[in-house]
Amino acid sequence: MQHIVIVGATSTIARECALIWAKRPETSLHLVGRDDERLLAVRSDLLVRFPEVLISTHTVDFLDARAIDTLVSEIGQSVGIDKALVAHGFMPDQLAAQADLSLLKETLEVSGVSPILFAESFAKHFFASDSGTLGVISSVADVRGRRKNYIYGSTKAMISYYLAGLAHRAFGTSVKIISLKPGPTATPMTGHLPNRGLAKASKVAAGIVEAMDGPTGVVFLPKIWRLITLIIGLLPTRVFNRLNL
Amino acid sequence: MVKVSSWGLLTNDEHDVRPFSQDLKLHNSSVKSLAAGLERSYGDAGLNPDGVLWSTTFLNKLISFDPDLGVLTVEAGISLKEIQDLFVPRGWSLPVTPGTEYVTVGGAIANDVHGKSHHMYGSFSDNLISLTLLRTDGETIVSSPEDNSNWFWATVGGIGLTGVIISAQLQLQKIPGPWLATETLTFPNLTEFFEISNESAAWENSVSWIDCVGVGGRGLFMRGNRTSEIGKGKISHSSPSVPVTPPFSLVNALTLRVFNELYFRMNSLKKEKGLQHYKKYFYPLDGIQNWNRIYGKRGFYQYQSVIPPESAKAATEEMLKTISKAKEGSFLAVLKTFGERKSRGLLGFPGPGTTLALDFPNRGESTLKLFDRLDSIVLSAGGKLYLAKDARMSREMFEATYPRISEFSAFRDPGISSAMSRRLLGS
Ligand SMILES: Cc1cc2nc3c(=O)[nH]c(=O)nc-3n(C[C@H](O)[C@H](O)[C@H](O)COP(=O)(O)OP(=O)(O)OC[C@H]3O[C@@H](n4cnc5c(N)ncnc54)[C@H](O)[C@@H]3O)c2cc1C
Ligand SMILES: NC(=O)c1ccc[n+]([C@@H]2O[C@H](COP(=O)([O-])OP(=O)(O)OC[C@H]3O[C@@H](n4cnc5c(N)ncnc54)[C@H](OP(=O)(O)O)[C@@H]3O)[C@@H](O)[C@H]2O)c1
Repeated sequence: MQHIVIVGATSTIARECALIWAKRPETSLHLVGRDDERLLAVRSDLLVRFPEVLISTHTVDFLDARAIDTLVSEIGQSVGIDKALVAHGFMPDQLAAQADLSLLKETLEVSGVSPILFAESFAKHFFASDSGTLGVISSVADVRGRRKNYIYGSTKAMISYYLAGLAHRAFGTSVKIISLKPGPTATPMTGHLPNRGLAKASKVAAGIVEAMDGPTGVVFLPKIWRLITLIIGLLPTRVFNRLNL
Repeated sequence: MVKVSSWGLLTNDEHDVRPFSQDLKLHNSSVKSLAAGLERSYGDAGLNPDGVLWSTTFLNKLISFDPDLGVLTVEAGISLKEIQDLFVPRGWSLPVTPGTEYVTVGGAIANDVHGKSHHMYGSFSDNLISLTLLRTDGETIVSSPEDNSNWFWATVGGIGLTGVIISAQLQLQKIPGPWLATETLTFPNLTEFFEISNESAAWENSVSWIDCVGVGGRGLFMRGNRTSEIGKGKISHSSPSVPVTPPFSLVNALTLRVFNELYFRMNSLKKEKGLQHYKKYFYPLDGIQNWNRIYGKRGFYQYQSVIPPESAKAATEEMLKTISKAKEGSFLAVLKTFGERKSRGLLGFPGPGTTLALDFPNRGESTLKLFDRLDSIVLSAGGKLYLAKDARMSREMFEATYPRISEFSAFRDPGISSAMSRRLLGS
């Protein structure tokens, strides 16, 4: 039996991943979220589609380091985790977060600190058994600070930086660390934007699931974002600052 | 702000689009909001320019399924396609679906949609067990034909104006398989259409294509029953798309004549009996994504009427004559005789009679003038127009043909308004 833990399981992209994993034989899903009702709704949805799948749900305070660590080790001890996906994130309205420091703080915590707390806890578990795959959803928004989205972007930059370090640590072990970088994707997070140009969450999820079967690495979803972020990263600051991004 | 068009592409106005979530406070004192599904309504039922549009498509979870009774409970933003894709392989189907699978359950309720099985299974609400409505003041109302039935029948066909439908309980139908045993019959004129239609009452599904170019009213009558037989051919799950909107309509008097001649001939040569996959039979247009773009930048209208049985033949003949003379209209012309069941929705559309649905490229004044002429035929025949398709009917016409408007108005949600409600109800 493969045991897969999904943190932020109510997110659209995570749900799409769960739909793919649930199709696999001998797979058991462990869903982690902050709200019991929403988690159970995700579970029910999966069970109507796949009545056979084994699914557990767990709620935890996403900013409580000790509670997170306890939960991860409980799941780890009871079943042995094969894969963990950390998917939650929060993108505020940039102007609102500039104006309101508590919204800024919430963003930094929910989108930056919290995923790293989960990741480090899974890492501890995986390195101890020298096995397991950890995937964390960062974003292409990490590439460069830009006026329209630097607060959310900085949380993702922190995650990417952190994951690079974790991947380094995993070198020479059997633990796999996957840094997942979707481009703009059609989910409630982007629900206020025009639909055009947004990737489908199901496609992004297919890429995530595939990447989490593979080796340590950084994965852009869709792939074209590797090139786009490379170019954006190479633009001289003088040029970049003139762009309305 | 995001520009939003409905299926007819007649307008493209700014909307404050927000992903719907149940925790959000819907009420916003100054700005009115409206729930939107997949924007498959042709006109302005699903539009609220400069206002808030709650996008419900992320409200798409399945809640429960009872495999003994076939009762499915879902969140209202799920598409009929998702339901069909999941349940048809398990031997269950929605008994009533419109000509496209790309509509949400909420949208299907809000227009009380009908399909090719109307004469057998009624409209969408005839297979709807209950629904949950969220009002902008935060109140939740669960209703069914038994409980809170007044809310149920106001919301069914209520074009989104009574609140946001958040979930629904649907009765699925056991089916022998995904294929239909079909027959295609040609008819040279409307007299024969009505004859075949009468003879076909025992068929589960029927629909006709009609040639709106000639005056005769020739067409193809396509009827089908579910079967356990398995046909040949692969059903692809991805479909080609019309990539861009051409600057002018690709449908004009010339292309139309050629299209119609070809379509009629090809199909009358076809074997009369056959097997058709349910997707091909029920949703032929879903095979091409964004086909609505072929009408060009100015968009198009669909005109759909229903005429009561006693005047159906004469009025339909007169409408076809008027359309043919005007040299407007298009390839997509559909004729169907409804069954006896009348939608019980206060603003419901389907009911006994014959419905004609036709697309018209938007040519401005001349197209609108033609509609005025058609309106007077519909009015004097005691018929009415379908709100899911309408973008231009006058308030007078609406009031003359929908007798239960004042009853309906009592159930409106004061925080909700649409372009259609402002046009037809004044607010
Ligand atoms: C190719 C094609 C074929 C069609 N064939 C048929 C047919 O055969 N028979 C038929 O009856 N119709 C047919 N239609 C019309 C279509 O079924 C209806 O317009 C349907 O309502 C569209 O659903 P939607 O999810 O796109 O809703 P939208 O068009 O987005 O919205 C329609 C209405 O529903 C309301 N609404 C949507 N979701 C909610 C919700 N959750 N709560 C409250 N209100 C809500 C909106 O406010 C609006 O008033 C066809 C349309 C197309 C494009
Ligand atoms: N959509 C995009 O364009 C895009 C692009 C690149 C990367 N990403 C990343 O992809 C991941 C998945 O996002 P999505 O697009 O699928 O968005 P989504 O559907 O809006 O999901 C957001 C998720 O974050 C959780 N969350 C939000 N605020 C939280 C809080 N305060 N505490 C705990 N959890 C909280 C939500 O949980 P609740 O259900 O409990 O609210 C939900 O699970 C995120 O990390 C996001 O940053 C998205």
